[in-house]
Amino acid sequence: MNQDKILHLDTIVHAPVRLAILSILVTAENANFTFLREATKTTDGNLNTHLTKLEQSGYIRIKKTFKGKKPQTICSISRKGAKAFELYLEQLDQIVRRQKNKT
Amino acid sequence: MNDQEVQKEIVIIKKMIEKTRRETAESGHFFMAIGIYSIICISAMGTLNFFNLYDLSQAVMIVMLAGDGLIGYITVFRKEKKEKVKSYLKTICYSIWAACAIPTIIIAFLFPYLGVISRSLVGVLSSLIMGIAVFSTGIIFESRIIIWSSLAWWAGALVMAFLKVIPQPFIMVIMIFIGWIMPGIILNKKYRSRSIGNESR
Repeated sequence: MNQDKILHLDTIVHAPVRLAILSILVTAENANFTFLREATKTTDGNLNTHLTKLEQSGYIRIKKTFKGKKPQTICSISRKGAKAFELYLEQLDQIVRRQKNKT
Repeated sequence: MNDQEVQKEIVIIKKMIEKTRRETAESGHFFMAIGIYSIICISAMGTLNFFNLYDLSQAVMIVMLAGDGLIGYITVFRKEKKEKVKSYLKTICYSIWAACAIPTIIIAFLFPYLGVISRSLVGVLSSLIMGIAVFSTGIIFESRIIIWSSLAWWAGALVMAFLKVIPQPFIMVIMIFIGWIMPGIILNKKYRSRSIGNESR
């Protein structure tokens, strides 16, 4: 039987880039677009797509401001996002335990 | 999802958390800058007190507190604007320092003039409050040395309670060195080692 189906892994969190973004935002109060791009080693367009998906799911909040004349995108995790991340970690832990028990 | 995939995800999470922690590490510049400036001002105050120039000493105290505020603004708020990541820890730490600075100002300026406390108690009470700020900083940044250095403030407060106004500034200079500059150096060392680690990855 497929373990993912039993645990209902959150597909929004499951993607590596989105998982990386949430890992950063759960540690910090907020992070800007540049830091997220550098840390996740992804392109502007790719990061934008993932951020939009996370925002649409209500997992993160995106605030667009101006720093002088330069536009700035600041992201922070929402309560829903933090809970989803926590649940995802618990599920990972469960998978590890199950596989340990099998062996 | 197999074991390898889980391990890959755990590695991603760990890496990202570590990168964020490095980026948000406290540089210690705030503590060192305020510490050095305060030592200069307090030494001047001690010298003026020695020559019974109390009014001039009070003027130096005003300059010191205004300067501390300016240094705080430059090292904390202006730097924060340039930062890519904002951390909860720093926000909490700076809030505690601000919360401790306000009662210190009230004790140093308002209370002696209102006749609530004598001048000799200003240093004692201020040191007790500064001890709280340093202790909290140590807890926030998980540094035992900083936690221990807060004892310098409380021990100094006890010593000053038995001293007159004149020698108090000289005790405070020692306390500032142990309780501000030393924690600043420790935080800076940690910050530098983290930055080097960040560059090499």
